[in-house]
Amino acid sequence: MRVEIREKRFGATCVLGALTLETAPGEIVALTGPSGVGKTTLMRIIAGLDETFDGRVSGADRVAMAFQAPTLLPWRNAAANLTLTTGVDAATAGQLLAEVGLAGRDDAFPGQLSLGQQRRLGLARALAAEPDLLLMDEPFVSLDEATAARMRALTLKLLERRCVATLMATHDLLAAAEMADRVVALGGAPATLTGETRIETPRGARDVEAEAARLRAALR
Amino acid sequence: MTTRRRNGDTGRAVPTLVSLALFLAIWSIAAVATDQEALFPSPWRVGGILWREAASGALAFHLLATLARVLAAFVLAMAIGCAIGLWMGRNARANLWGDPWLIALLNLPALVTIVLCYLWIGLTEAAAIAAVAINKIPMVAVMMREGARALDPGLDDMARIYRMPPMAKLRHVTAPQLAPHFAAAGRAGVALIWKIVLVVEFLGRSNGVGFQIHLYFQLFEVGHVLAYSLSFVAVMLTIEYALLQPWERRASRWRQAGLTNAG
Repeated sequence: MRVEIREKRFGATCVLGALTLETAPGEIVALTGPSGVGKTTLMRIIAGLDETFDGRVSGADRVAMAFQAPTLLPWRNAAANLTLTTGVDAATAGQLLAEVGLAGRDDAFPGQLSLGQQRRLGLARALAAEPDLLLMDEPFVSLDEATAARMRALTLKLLERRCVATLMATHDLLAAAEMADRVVALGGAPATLTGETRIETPRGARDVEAEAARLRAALR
Repeated sequence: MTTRRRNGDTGRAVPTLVSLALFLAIWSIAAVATDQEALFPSPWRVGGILWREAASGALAFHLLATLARVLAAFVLAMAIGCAIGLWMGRNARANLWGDPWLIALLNLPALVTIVLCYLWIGLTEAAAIAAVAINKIPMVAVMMREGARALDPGLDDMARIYRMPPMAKLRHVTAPQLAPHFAAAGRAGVALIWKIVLVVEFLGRSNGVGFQIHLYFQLFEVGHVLAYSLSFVAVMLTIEYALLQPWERRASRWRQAGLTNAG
């Protein structure tokens, strides 16, 4: 996937300046930056939800998005939330639910699930779409630390088995240090890419705290 | 779950029945006390009339005529009102230009619409049903407009990203969000429409409960007026309890599930 933006405006305010971002299959890219800088705007452009910008997006044909709010259908059960939206059959849906740790909860309505479970259901839905590019917008906010850690580990495990490029917007450098192959920083007004660094250490061997400190220094 | 619901139903049924019995008792006492059988008939006298009208087949004939008009006007008003309301809720320009019309129509007295429809279209079935529908359309439109405005943009995005087919999106994403507004509009609609239908029949039809009330009004037969109106009230209450409420419960099942088992 390649996105090239010359300019994105909301009325008179220029939100995004000139920037180019690419992702490769199987790669996890963390998009960091202070909140309100335009991470979500950039993700929406890549997802094709926002078409009023100057620039172009290519190679993002099969996109899935795990939203900041889970945006499930509260009036349909967990299995139907996968089958109705992405068109997978019931067996695949059951398998995906098991993969995200919701085995046997096919009949549960989203209102009967905790926020962590709803996020996992949202992740299962994104994977059900079998995307080439997975966009995750702040996927770990408002979860308690233990749940967030489990969710990060689960996400990594699920992505390992799939050849999907992942772009993850997060303001949490620790999460970026744990999960990403590459970290890009978005900053300024209008926002542009202010820094980019690759994490060479394999995921299993990383000292997350030290890596996050290195990222903080590198992306300043 | 099932037993709890059943308990809830009997828990509501007992006070309802007692309250209805109390109403009949007060009516009986008042009728006996005033001792004016022609002007203020007792429940048993009205019951007798009801029985005779039912046995002759007249009651069923007029009830069905009225019910058919209620149904036709209801379907028409809901269809047109929903279309207008959704359009105005989703389109700012349509709303800007349509709003004054809507407010004007909302404030048009039912009697004016009925008289104008009869004058312009003639004393026909079409005029009667059109008059009732026109009275109801603005209210449905206003309620559905609120529903359309409250649609969740996040779910719109979701449906777009996962490329849900338009019909699937309508059925599984949009319709469930509109269902509470639709139910409210429908319920308010039924309550309003059947009352207006009686007026329409009173003024210009030759069958139906409204026509019978007109007839017995001229003959000064209070018992018959009461018999017909009460039997139609009973029909409308049956529709409310047997059709509308179970449907609403089914449609909001997911809400109940979320409330009782959240966590």
